[in-house]
Amino acid sequence: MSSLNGKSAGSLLGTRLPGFLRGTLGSGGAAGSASVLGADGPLKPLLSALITAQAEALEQLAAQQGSKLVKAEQLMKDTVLEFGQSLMRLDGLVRREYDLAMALQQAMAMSGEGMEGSQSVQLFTASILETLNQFVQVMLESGQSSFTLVEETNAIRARSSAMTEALGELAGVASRIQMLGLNASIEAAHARQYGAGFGVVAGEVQKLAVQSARISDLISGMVMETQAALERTSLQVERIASKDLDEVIQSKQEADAMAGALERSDRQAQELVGHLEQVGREVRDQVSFCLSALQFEDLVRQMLEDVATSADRMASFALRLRGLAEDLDGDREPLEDLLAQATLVFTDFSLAQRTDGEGAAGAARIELF
Amino acid sequence: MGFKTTTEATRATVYLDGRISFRTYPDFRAATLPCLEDPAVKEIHLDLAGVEYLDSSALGMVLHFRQKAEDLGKALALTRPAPPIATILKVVNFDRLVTILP
Repeated sequence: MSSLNGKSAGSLLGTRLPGFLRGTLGSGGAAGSASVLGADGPLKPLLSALITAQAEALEQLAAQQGSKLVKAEQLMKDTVLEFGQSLMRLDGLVRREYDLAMALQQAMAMSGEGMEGSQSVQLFTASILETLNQFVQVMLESGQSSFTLVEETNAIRARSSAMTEALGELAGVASRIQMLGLNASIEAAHARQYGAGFGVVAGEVQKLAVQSARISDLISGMVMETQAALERTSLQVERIASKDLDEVIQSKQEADAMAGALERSDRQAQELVGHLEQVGREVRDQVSFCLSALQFEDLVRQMLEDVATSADRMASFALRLRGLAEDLDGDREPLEDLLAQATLVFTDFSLAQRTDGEGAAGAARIELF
Repeated sequence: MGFKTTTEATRATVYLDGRISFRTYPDFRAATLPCLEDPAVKEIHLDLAGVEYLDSSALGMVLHFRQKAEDLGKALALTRPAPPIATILKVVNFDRLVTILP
């Protein structure tokens, strides 16, 4: 995993050693240097002290790395815990979204099949108002026609009154004719045989007067019936025309209230959809967070492995340094080999430190999934 | 009961009051007929400030009167309806049929 393996070693250790040591301890150093590092060489105590110091520094670094390891482990635990909580929130959001979707589906089913809820509400409201307006229009037209009828009825009533008056005059004329016929019959009786013919005429006149009076009474009765029918018609017209508008107003207000309720329901459905979208966005955020947590967990795990490896190598190297410091009478070859390894380890450790310090930018050397 | 009528220039105003219904028609007709018959009158206002109640026949009566006025080339307007009367006129969309002035 780590890209440390195979990296070319830098010269960190070299930069920290005194210049004369770099020349003395470098590969293929001067032939006379063996006497400097020999058992009685003047630099032995200095080299021993230096190696001991380096060993202590390595131990300290290993301890620091161990501490960082513990912190990283804790960080990883926290991350996993947060990840679990995030998953639980995600589960809750998904359940909530499902419930909301079900509620929305039911609301849509109630609003009408095959069309959007708002469209259905608008059509329903328009239908109610159209029906009411048609009802009101019919009512007004009926009222207007009623008064046309009233005018006509009044005209008929006036003509009936004139007819009744004329019939009264006709009855008077008939009565007078009858009286005239009676008088003529009396006068004919006085004239004896000379008035016989006139008596017949007078009798016929009387009969005509009686008949005329009967017809006049008949017509008068019919006119009275017509007037009675007109009165009944007027009452019917009044009944038809006189509608209490309280019911209309109440119906209109109820329709308005219903339309308002439907509009509110539609608005709530819209808000529900908006809420659903918000929940969806939250779910996406939670998923994104979970992915980030997984990536971070993987990054930390790789870093921990890297740090653990570096710490092990440093601890091992420190042990070897201590052993070497205690026995500097040995050959020069092991020391040079050890210093070369130390250079490699310190270079790797330096890179690891830089990675740890630079955060995400340094993570480029870590392979993510 | 009768309704008061005033005429000013070409405008005649009939002041209606109380409860206007089918039975008010004789009084309404008596008050408005002179306005129709007066050729100088070109505009007739029905003042509703004193009206307490209107039923549907009253509305039909006004529409019937409007038709007769228009036939004679006279304009009709309803004026100063009280809030309850204005509500009735609004509910039945009367403002689409007759000019209503506050």
